[in-house]
Amino acid sequence: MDLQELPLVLFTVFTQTAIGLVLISAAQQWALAGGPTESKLRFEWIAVLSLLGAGVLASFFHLGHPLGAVRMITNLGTAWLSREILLVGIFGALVLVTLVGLVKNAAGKWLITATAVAGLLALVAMSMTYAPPSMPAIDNYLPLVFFGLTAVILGAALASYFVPADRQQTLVIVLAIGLVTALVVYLVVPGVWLSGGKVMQLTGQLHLASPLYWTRIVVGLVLPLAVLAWQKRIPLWLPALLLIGEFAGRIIFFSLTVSSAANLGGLY
Amino acid sequence: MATQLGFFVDASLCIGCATCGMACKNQYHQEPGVVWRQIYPLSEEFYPHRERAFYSLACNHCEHPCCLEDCPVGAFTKRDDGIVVHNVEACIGCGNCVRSCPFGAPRYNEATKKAEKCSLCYQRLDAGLQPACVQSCPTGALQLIDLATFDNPDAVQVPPGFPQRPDINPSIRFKLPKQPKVVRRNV
Repeated sequence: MDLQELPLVLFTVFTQTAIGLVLISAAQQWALAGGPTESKLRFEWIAVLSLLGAGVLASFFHLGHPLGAVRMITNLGTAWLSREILLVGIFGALVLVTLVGLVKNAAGKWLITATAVAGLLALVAMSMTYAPPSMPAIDNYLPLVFFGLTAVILGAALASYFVPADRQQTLVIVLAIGLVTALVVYLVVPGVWLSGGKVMQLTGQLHLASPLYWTRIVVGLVLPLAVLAWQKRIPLWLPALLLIGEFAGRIIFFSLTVSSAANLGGLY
Repeated sequence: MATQLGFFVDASLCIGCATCGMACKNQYHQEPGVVWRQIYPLSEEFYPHRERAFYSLACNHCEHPCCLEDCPVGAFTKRDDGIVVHNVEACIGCGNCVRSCPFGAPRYNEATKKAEKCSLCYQRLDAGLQPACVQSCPTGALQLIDLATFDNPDAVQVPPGFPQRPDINPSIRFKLPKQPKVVRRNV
């Protein structure tokens, strides 16, 4: 993998985990039974802020000139990257406001819900940013599916740290649904790519021939599913394993997707 | 149609000598590894001959350039003559243009930590000169054209070996390479 992409791996995974945690938190406010206690809720939002901060910090290392980052929202008219930065900024600001509200016992569920909506919009903008015209395999809504699955899987997994073990059942179900969906998506999509144009086929072939791809399928998806089926709860170490799996998946996303520029003179 | 400058690549004349790329290098002295114009041999999948054919490619100065649309700091502008200019001063080196372009035109310069690309030698054009690559081509295979007036019935926009992106509308036209004659001796 090009080392320049490593900060993007960290940025997207950490930010999507934070968004996932907020989505789960908002759902717990409205529908999902078994949310954290009030003090644990504060810790959960501290975790959200920390993850978001780590992701944003990592993203600066992706820029050749990080001091120019403040100008990145100057092309909101057409650039999804500008929209992504703006929406992640709004999401971060709302996370901070919610956390302050929770500390002062003044954060209602509407504020948490508004933060979740901002996170969802940031996720959409992020997925459009990483759907470049040069990569036919992902110049579509697939990045939104991939990123959404990361948010659901890691959000549900990390949320388990903040609810008592006897109230984890809903999270186990959400995580299991996320993992099964991800398993189907990540096994089917490379096969679909094989039926596309040449550049798309190359992407599919690289995935299926990659030991990292298969390791990720087994370690990041199948093994966690087996653990959930066996233990019917989320063990303390499972979120760490899932995080490693998602990092591997994102490295694959950034390194094995072929650009049409790499096959000029060859079939498209 | 308004003026839209671009390149005409006559693959039937191109001999793959890479003089165009060298002329670009001589003109702009890019860092080692940074190439604005590159020669691509055609794949044997659709040109299965011992004789090789080539496309000489640089920035296509597209009608709807994705580098311009996707740049978060607005470092790209499109001139009245259709040339897409990259303002290096404004670039912050995020690499989004490099990732976006289906034709691989913007390249990342590790030394300056910024992107850069072919400018169609707009300073030379403004001075009444030809682009360095066009001027240097010994066979006349690379030509500067204005799509507003260009009318060559043999020209195609999307030949085999070139990404099909009508939505971006690259300002380049090609003449396909000749199919070599096969001469067989009667036995």
